[in-house]
Amino acid sequence: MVVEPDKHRRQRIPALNIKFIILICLSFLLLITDQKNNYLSLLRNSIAIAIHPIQAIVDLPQRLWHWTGENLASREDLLIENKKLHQEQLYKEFTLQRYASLEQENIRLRKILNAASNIKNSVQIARIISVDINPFRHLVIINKGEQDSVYNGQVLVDANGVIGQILQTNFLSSKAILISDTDHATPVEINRNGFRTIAQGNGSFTHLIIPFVPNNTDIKVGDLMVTSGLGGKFPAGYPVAIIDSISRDPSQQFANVTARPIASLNQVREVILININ
Amino acid sequence: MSSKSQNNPNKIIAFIATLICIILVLIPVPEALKIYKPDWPLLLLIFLAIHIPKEFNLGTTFLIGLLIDVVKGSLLGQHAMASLLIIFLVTKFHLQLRIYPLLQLTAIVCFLLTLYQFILFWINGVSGISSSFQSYLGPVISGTILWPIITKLLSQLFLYTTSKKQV
Repeated sequence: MVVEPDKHRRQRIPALNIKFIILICLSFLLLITDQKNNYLSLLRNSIAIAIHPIQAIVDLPQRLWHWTGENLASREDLLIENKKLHQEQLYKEFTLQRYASLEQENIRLRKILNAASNIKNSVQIARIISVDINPFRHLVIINKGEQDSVYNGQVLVDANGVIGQILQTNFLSSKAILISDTDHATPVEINRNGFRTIAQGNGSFTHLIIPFVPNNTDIKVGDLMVTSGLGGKFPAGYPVAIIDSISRDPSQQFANVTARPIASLNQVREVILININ
Repeated sequence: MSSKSQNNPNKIIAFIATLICIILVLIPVPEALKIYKPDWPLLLLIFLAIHIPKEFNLGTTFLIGLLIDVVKGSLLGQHAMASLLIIFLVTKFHLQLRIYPLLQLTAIVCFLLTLYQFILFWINGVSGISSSFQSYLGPVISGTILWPIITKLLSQLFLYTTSKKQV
């Protein structure tokens, strides 16, 4: 233990009680302000910038591992991968040819209907730099911030489907909430018949809850749910989840429906930010 | 008195230990161990408040608490408030805590960790964030198990630096 000459001077910590009371009041004020409104983003931002180097250091080994993996892959593997990607590219281009004409047709039809066409969105790729910061929440931190014109409420997708939305922006990084967070609900519709509902997160990466589905709704296991664009946060038409279980109990008003998110929420490293404006 | 020259290495160690704690908070752990991730900064703060309360008390605690709030994305002031209360208690009774045998001290640390989690739970409840019972219990269990190891390790470190200074 620490050797200190306690006999000569009895240790007294100066103004301990007063300090305690002042600081407790201060943190109470902070709590209330942070809960009610968004005045504290500057304070949060400055602390986040101070921590950013540490976060980068923590992320370093993982990045190094990835880098080594990429650089030490054998030539044969690379050739095989190259070939595979080439084939995939061909296939995608083939699909895109049809997509181009479909897009034109869609714009024409929308003009007839006098609706705004909102098909082209500009995108930006970001990397997730830290994931399990709080076991209570499904939040991630990405490496793009206000500097890269990321804004609050911006939508995150991966190659397969919707991941979440930006909750809070800092200067160099921003925090995003995943669709599986207990506090998050995504407005969705069933792609097959346009039935509108919401997909609620319940803290599990593999399940979303679809509440308030009446027993007689036309809904099947395997139905694709896409964002409906209602609520104004998520642009319409991005895939969210696939229905994986339905249990109908005649004594209950609503069926118990769960869906499996299409995006692999706990495995992605690169995410795509969609810019609606 | 040589107390001025003795304080400096303590402060440096405390600063480095804080940095390491924040890195430990940030480091990702496997899904299975996630709820058992101990509150590293709190354990460190308790140790420092027992042994060098003059250099290291409430102001620093408050700052570290805010830092954790930003890192964890919780309400600003949540961890700050919880750790302030714990460190206040520890600083108040640091002379008693110093002479307790290890087992008794561990029991008290277990109680303090429970109190800490309870305050977090309470603030989460008020602000409407729900989570499982296990996620509050996990850090208490792991923290209590790790406390004797941490306290032994850190005392060795402090003893080493102070004895080197005196020679």
